[in-house]
Amino acid sequence: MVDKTREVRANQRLITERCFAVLVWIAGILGIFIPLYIITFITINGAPILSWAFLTLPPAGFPLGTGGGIGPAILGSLALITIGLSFSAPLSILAAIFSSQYCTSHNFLVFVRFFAEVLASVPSIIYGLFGYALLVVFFDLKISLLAGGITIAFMMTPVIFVGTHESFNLANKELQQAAISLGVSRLFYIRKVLLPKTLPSILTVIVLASMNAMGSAAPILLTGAIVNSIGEIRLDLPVMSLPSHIFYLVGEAVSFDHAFGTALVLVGVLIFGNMGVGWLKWRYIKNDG
Amino acid sequence: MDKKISSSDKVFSASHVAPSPALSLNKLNAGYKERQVLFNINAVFYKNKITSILGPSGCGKSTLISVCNRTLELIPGAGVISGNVFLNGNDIYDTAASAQLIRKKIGIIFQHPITFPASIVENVLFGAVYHQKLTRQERLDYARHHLGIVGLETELINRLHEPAHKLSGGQRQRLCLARTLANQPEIILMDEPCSALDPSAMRHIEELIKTLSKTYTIIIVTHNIAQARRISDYTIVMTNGRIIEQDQTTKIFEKPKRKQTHEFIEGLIG
Repeated sequence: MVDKTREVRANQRLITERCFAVLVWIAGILGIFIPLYIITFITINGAPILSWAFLTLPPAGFPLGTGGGIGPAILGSLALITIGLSFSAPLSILAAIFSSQYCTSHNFLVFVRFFAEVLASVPSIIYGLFGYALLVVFFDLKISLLAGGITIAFMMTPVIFVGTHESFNLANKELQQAAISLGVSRLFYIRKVLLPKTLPSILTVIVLASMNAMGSAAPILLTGAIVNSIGEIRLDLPVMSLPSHIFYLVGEAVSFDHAFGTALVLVGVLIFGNMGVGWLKWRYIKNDG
Repeated sequence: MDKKISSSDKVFSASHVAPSPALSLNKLNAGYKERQVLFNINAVFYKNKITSILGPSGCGKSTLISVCNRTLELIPGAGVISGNVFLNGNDIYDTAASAQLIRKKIGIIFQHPITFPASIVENVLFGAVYHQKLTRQERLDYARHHLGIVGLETELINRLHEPAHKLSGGQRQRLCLARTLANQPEIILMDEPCSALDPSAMRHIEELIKTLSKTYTIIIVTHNIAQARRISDYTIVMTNGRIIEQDQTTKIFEKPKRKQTHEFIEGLIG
């Protein structure tokens, strides 16, 4: 009787385990298939339009965007990310250093961390609205590269802060003890051990935040984007950007071909960005552990 | 500040003429946020001698040595409650004492060898370049000299610029020792330095400890009763945060005064 009950239980466990394995396989295959399908779909629809002229020329034709290319949008997106990063990366890393190495108040840390996590998940249009109200209207920066870049920095800062803070916390506490016990200062430890040790994770979080910001149209639509430009990059002038250009081409039903072409370029930039960081991380871990 | 602690602190047998003390603990109480771990600790560690600290797990051995170079205070909420630790007669917990300088003078080796994300040479020089001015050429010579002391120079002659994490456990522990020696300490604390090593690497480290004791004062926390007997000149036995007996190692092992000491070294209590 006892043996039979055991056998039934064992069979039930086996069935549960197999069902779970099937579920995990399906989820895994979908996880790979869905992004692959999206990229393939964009590539099939966007590849025919790609050419050197498309990558370098400004938009042309009537309505605007049915001809020419997306050269100024590529430049504009890169400029926006550069400005966003130059504000957000140092600020977030310093804030993470403060919170993980210097701040002694646990309650303050919990408070800061909670709000940073909330901000990291705020929809990007809210950053756009905030950037518009604060930078464009209140500080009178006008719709410009600077206003758009700072708005993107607002959006990236909590993401980089949370990721960097997490990687600092994950860095072995024993490592800190070993360094400080040699009589060196906290700053020396941060410079020589903590930052080199966590550099791959920091790079990853910076790239993820940048790629996410680069693909967002909402924050810059109200603060820094323009429909057409000859490609002049100036802080006080608005710029074209890849996501806002897609938004314009599709929203105004101008050209789906050009929209897919732009989307393919944007996805390509994101893929190459991630691959670049992957390579850097691999090289770094291989060399320095 | 200049209060001197003599070596006649009634902690060792009356017949024993002790050498001069390097580090003395006086009525020391210490602990963590919620609980006290060390109770009324009085101990003396002698110059150029090896002192082992023995005791069951959780008795406060590691806390005791982390008090000795002010690394305990790196843990939030932990620290000394009362009492003094004297290095050459000066209280290391005096408000005027620099914790960084104390940690330079009293180096510590941990149970798990921790290497920094840098090359072997950079690891050796980590503390040295912070405390001393060394030219580029001097740096390499300095690192090689200290690697030589721990017997790693010839082993690693062609790998000096390789990442330190590629070394074996025993080599990493010797590298950590070289890194501490390069800091020019007066005292070396060792928190179970051989517990993560295989017997061959352990033997190597033990020989090294014996050699180093000619130049440095060494305090070693160990679980390994046989190791304490093999290498140390003096032994301290602890239980429940208190020192139950301290004396010359031969006396502790041959004629322990306390029943608890006898039971511990016989393996009757763990």
